[in-house]
Amino acid sequence: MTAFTHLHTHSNFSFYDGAAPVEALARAARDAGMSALALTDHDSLAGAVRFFQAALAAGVRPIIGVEFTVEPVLPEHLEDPERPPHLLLLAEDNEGYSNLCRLVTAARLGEARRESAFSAAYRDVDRDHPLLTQENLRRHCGHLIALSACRKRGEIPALLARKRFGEAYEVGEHYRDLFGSEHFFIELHNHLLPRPHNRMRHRLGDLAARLGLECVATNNVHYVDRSSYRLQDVMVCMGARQTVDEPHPDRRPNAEFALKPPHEMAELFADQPEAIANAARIAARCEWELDLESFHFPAFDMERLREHCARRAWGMGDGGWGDGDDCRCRMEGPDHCPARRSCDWITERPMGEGARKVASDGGRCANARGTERQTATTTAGAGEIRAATASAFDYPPPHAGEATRDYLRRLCAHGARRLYGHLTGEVRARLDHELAIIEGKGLCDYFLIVWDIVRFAREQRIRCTGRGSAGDSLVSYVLGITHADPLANDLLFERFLNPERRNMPDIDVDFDTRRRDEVTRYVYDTYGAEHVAAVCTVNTFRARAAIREIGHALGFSDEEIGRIASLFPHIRAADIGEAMERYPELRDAAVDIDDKRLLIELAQEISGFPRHLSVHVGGLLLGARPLTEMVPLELACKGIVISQFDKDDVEALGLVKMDLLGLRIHSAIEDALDHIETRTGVRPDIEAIPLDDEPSYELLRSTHTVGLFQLESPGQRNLLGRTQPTQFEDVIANISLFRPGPVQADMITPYVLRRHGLQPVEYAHPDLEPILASTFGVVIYQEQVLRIAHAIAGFSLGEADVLRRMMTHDITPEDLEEVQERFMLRASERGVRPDVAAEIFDMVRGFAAYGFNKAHAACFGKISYQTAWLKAHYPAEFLAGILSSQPMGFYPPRTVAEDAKRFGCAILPPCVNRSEGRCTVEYDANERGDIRVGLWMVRGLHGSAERIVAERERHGPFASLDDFCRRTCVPRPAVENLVLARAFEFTGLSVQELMWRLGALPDDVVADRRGRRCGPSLAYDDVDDLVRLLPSLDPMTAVGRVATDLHLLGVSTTRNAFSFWRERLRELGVTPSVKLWRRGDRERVRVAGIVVARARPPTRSGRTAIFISLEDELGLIDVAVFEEAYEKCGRALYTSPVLCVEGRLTRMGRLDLSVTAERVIGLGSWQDFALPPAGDSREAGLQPADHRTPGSATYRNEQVVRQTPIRGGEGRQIAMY
Amino acid sequence: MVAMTRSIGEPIYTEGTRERCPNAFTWRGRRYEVVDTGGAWRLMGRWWKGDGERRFVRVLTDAGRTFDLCRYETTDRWHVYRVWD
Repeated sequence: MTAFTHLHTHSNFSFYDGAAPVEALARAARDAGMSALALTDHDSLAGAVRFFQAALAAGVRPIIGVEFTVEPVLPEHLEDPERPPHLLLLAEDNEGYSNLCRLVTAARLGEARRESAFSAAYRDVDRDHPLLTQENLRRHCGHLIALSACRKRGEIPALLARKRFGEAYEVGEHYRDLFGSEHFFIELHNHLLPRPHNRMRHRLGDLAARLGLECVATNNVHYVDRSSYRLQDVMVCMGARQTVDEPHPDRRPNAEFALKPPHEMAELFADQPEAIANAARIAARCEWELDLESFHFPAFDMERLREHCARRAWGMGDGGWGDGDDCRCRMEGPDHCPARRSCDWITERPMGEGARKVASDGGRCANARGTERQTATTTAGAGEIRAATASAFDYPPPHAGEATRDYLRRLCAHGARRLYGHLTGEVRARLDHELAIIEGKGLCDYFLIVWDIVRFAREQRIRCTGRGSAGDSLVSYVLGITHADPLANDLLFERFLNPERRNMPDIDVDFDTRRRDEVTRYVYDTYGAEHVAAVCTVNTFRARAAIREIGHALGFSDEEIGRIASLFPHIRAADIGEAMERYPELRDAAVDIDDKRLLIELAQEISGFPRHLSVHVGGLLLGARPLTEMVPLELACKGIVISQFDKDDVEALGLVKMDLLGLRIHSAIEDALDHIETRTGVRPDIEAIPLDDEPSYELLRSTHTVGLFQLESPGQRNLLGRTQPTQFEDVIANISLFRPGPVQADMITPYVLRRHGLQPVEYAHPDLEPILASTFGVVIYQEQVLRIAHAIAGFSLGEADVLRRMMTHDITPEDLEEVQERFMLRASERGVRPDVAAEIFDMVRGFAAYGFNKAHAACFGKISYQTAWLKAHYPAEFLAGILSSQPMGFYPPRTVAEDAKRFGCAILPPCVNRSEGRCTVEYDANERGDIRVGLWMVRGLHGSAERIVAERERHGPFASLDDFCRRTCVPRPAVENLVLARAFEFTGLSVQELMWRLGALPDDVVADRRGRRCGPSLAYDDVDDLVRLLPSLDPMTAVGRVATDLHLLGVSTTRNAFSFWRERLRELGVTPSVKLWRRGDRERVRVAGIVVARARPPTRSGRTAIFISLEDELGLIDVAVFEEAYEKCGRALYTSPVLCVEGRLTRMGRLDLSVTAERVIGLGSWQDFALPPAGDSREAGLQPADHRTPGSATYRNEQVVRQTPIRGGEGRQIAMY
Repeated sequence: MVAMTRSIGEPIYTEGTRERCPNAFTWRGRRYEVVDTGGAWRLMGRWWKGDGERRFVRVLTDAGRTFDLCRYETTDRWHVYRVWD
């Protein structure tokens, strides 16, 4: 059999060019009897690690290479400067791989110096056109084998095709001298093309002979087999943003670019057999493996910390000056401030956002005044709550020459004393146990690195909490990384870090979203930009994107494609066919789709293909050595340097990755605390609130939990109503139960029934009682699975975790039998009866796959509880924080605002003299808090909000509209939005008068769309003349007010949009949400509302269940739509934002009300509903006869439509009604 | 001397196949025996319109004439694509 290796192979990581997944390539190579295969994607190694793994799994030796776009050797002879030549490089060994990483990085980032992830130097980087310069190539050309690349883009064949024989020789000579004749090969193709092209390989052969080089045969593989040709062709068209009817030089003329078996290749090169033999010879030279065994930890820099501690003792921060509780300027006056910078102590500004911002900006002892608050307490309806103190997170400095291991132990002991008062035997034993494992795995530096990041955040007062299985660790808790007590919550360290397994711990930390970049910047500054990069996420084609892009390439119109794509839910493209059969909303539209078979087929084929790389939400990669030695880097579209490897690749390479995530609820909590502090003068220590606060549990039981972290979804509110939580453990259980697994396994019903004593709690073995008592005999947590295996079968906790993982993942029947035998044997040794052991094993097996990580639930549960506490005691402050942090959570801002109104807080319109960027709270004489809409929420204001506030703070309030325009440079359209949103109500003029005046203001007073003022324009006196021409206009109607607010702010500052339909809905027999509790169980009801949330969780039976939250004028209504109703009304359910539902009321608990739908009718859009109904309704008396959509004649007649009086320029039609 | 070509595109009757090329074919009532082949190539049609691949082969016949024959993947029929005069 012919020995041949494909050395030029593109996978689908050659975006919009390669049409073969790496796994398919590896399998195909094995099936064709090839012993090795190279992967050579365009300017990328993004698929390298998974190709390596796939090839090893298939028994094929992987070879890593890259096809680079290079600077031409003879640029003057380049036919098209937009299409620089290619050069293919293969790594001969590990050093060659490092060189590939360096070259990919150089090609992608150019000459930009990597000073920081945010370096301005990257602005000039052309992300879409990577180019490797000859200089960079020369610098890192060692340990590489170079091939002259493809027929069209290789510089040598391109010159030969144009009969530039001398120049082709010159280029060949250049690369021969650069790499050496043993390392540079002329690449030959035979793609069965017409004669002139096919003759090329003979010309190349002749040239190679003249240069003293050897030839090598490749097939420039772009897909596994011929059937993928059309997908590859359409992908090229997608990448070029053209249709298949248009020609493109990168489109292949036939389907010969497949992974052909060796015998076919030998046949194609029968007249050049040495080229085939050379392919195998080169492959044999590239025999090396990526190191997937060892970890590469960066060392924790103790010296740097010592220096920081020394500076801190002197009152100076980490480059910034944010930790100045003991700043000398505080103690000895500003003259002694070591930084000689402006200090809060001098300026005496009120603490709050401004001061905190100063601190984060690198300014200056802002926290110094925090000491004044250390002993303060608040009693504002929340009991004795400790005030937040700056010294709550302190730590001992390291000693000179102290080992990281010793320092970690000392830090843990210090933290434990801080949290537990003193080191009890239990705490000491647990810490010893954990630290022994951490030390054994060599993870001390890793823990210190994470601790150091958290330390920085805490010192800068950036709110942060750990999440995930790290919460199982007491070390994480005492280091301040996580905030849920693992001892009190019965959490197991082995679930986090198993001594029986070789795995990297995964510590994820959430930071206040608005300040996460400060933390990222600190990591870059600390470890050096050479050692840090963001981890990438590989974005793949899913149904909608696949349909859109392929549809455009096949020539469908934008409208048609948009309509089809929007019909599909967010599913995998591979599931399109199944979805079209299963979902009624798609089935009804199938007639439209039927003539698009080819589109659907191709969309299914492209499913899961990588589309582009983007920044992972929080993953940061830390390298012990400069990252470019192991990881290729590029620039994401956000302008951040990312690795081309995703989180799985990074883990496989043993690199340290940590997730520094942004969590908006932290921003909301911080805002709420700021508002509370402004009102009471005391900032509550939210971490120290008591966990038995009855008003908080009362709120949870009431299910009025909009805005609460993890507890606000319709399903979760339903569950809260059923479980009626009374303690923190219940919060954790609620979070764990409302997950796809437990819902699918129907763990909720037995839990609820047993909780309320409606079903007996029985234990198969007495040893199970202490483990399962807190969850009434239901296995909810993964930690419980470990404990059961430990108690019943005597497994060590590490072994038990291995058992759990085996059960969680797909397990073969043979493995399951073996595990069961081992469990039974060990159980019988401990005296457990075989039938009991079998019963327990079955129970554990049934629940292991669905159990939730309790540590994660506890970490999140603590935040959930904190939000419940805030909403129970400070609803206005809390909901203002939630509104400022949008988009977040489950509901749109208008629902949050309506919820605030139900909690007695009015929503005040924005005001240029009172609003800040974020929402604020204003209090009336009775201390009732109302929410003032922030300027961030005004549509089109973008970055102008900060400018407005800064100008107001600097030069005082705005006197008038003219004054505002002159002082701020806010673009005219944004000023119009401010006027319409009533931000100038303080002037005493109506919206119409203000709009007229704004129109009259000349362009040298009001800035244009780009924020620039221009002239010449009217003399200012003329404005008053124009204003005098204002005709008599009716004031804005109530309906108009609501519609304008919803359009410009996303919330209504006056009435609920549904209130205009009050009478009509009453006539139609619609029951308002607040009156549902008066109706009996199983009673027929008719409800209506705007859809605010829709969820389709998986069910045990596999049948459809859709949970919808409707919002009417007075509250939320939960609706469950099951298979039968969904089959009938699926389309209305997913296409109409306003629904009327007929069905039966289900009452399962005191406050658990939901409507089980029998009939769902779409009522148009909510904008339609904001207008008063007119005439008779259609569809069983429910459909408004007149769809008064903007643009209709009826609609226009009811409005004052006017042209602004300004001549030319930015004048536009303003509609007011 | 410059060879002249004419595009034809007429279906032909073929006999036997050797190395993916007919042994003989009948075109416009005359039978030609293939004595040699001068290369083969393949081109894809407008696949999105349902066209398949076309496989071409250049043949030298016993009559001394050179033909480019073409077989359409969709119909699996041979045609005279071009004649070299």
